[in-house]
Amino acid sequence: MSGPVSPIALPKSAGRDLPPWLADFYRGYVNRDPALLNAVMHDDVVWRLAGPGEQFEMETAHRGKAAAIELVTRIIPCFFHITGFEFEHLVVQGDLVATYGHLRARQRDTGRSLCFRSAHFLRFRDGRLVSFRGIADTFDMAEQMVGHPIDATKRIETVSIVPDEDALLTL
Amino acid sequence: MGDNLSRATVQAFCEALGSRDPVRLSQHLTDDVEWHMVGPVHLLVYCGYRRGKAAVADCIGRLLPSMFAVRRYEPEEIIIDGDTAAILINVTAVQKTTGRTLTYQTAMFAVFQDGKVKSLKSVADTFDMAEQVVGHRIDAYCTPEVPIGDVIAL
Repeated sequence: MSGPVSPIALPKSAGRDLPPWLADFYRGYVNRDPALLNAVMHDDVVWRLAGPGEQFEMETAHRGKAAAIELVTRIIPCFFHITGFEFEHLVVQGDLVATYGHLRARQRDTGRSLCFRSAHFLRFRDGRLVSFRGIADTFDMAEQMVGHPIDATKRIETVSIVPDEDALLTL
Repeated sequence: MGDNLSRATVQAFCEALGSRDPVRLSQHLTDDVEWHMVGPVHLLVYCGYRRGKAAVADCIGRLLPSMFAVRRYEPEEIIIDGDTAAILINVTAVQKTTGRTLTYQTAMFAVFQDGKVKSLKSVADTFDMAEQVVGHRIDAYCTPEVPIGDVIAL
């Protein structure tokens, strides 16, 4: 694929386009454009994602512009490349924005197409993003990422690398 | 797109929803309301698509309380644009079968018509919710030994 990705699709019922500053943010997000993200994010931006971060080795909270840019441009692409957002709702009230719709992506390891519902709550200050909160249907997302239905009765087996107390006493 | 939706109307709807009182909630719904809470229905029985005031009232007034007793239901953020409200809600609930306390956030997008909700879509961190419901960390990578959900082929 060449050239920038068309990042977003709004329903006709929206009756409008994204505000330019919001369009810039999503363009930077989808295209993993560090320069654009640097321009639209506040230095102290807080970026939070809901989800099983431990299982997919992805931290869910990132503070500061550098950490947020690294998340978008390096960490998330280790798992999948976001190819677009299809919004069903766009809610804008001053500096507050919320979006709801489908996030489309391609899994890096398998090439599988992923599509799951997500909502974003964004807060801007002086035209720059200060807070991003992403909430997604993470059970559906996880099933698509592992490629099979998840059996919720299967628990993670943990193996301690630290000797138990009795063993320590005998050392 | 109307622009008469007030914060008070949205808050009143949230309070009715949090009360789990089907009669009270029904007063805030249009007759043909569309209601879609995404999530794994086999674990969270109140998830899925419903249409009509009676179906939604039954879901919120009977199905959801069959799993949880809500202890706290507080909107953290309400954003209003025209006839649509985006609501981020913090929920604390007690699981009926185990007594465990669950906490989660849910994002709701509600479209209002004449002060009543005509459509609602919600999404939550469903993997985390599933882990809280089953009471342990779920191994997402473990291939299931038996089919889950409906049998689609024999």
